[in-house]
Amino acid sequence: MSGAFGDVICIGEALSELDKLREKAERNEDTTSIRHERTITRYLGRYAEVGPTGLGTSMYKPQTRISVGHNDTVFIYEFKSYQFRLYGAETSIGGRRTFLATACNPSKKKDKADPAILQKAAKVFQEYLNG
Amino acid sequence: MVDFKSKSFNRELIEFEEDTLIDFQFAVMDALNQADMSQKDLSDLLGVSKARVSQILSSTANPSIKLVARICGLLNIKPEFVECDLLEVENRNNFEDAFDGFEAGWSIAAKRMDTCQSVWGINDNYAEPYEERQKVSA
Repeated sequence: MSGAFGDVICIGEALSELDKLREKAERNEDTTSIRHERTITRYLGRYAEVGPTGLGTSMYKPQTRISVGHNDTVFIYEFKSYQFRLYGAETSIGGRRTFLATACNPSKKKDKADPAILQKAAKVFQEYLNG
Repeated sequence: MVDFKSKSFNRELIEFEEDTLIDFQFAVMDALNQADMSQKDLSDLLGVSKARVSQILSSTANPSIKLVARICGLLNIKPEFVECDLLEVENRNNFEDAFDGFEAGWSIAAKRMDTCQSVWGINDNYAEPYEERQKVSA
């Protein structure tokens, strides 16, 4: 998705979980998935249009810097739509500011992010950028 | 007008709820950014904790209409109820098309009282100048 500020690209688990959520919402079986899907879609669109300053910290939250080896680090951010959480990092792709969503926790139970998911988000992010 | 009677469980209405909350929250964020204010500044103005403001700006928030009015008053935002055209639903659930404009039933809109520059509501033409939107409605 593209906007005046930049792009949002979902890959890997982030994309597959988002697709699952969309399919569930479209089946109209429960209100929860509809709420989660609508909210995360609006947040991602807001990011693309306005950037992170247009979102409160309860919508888009910095998490932590993760080492991915060889002095490389990736700062992971979290989009928070109810218990549905998308993780990824900011970068530039093709000269456009981009949020690359790489990992997901579709039903987060604890307030604190799962370190394994943050690590996975950073790893997938790095792999994607390195081709 | 949406046929509310026949739709007790309805995706449009659930999304309408979410959009109304989110549009309010985005209007608050815009007002804070324009005034170079932080969420902490807003909590001080409201006389509530920073955590409470954070909760009001979260997906799980359900602020009372009076609290919404209070925040809008403090930030110079005027909420308005605006009649909209019937929703066009064919593509609105498509992820790529999710930001195309759509309208449903009645929506809430707000404008900055001083500049009248922004509108918030169910529509995605959030940034559209208020006067432009009024022309479209007419």
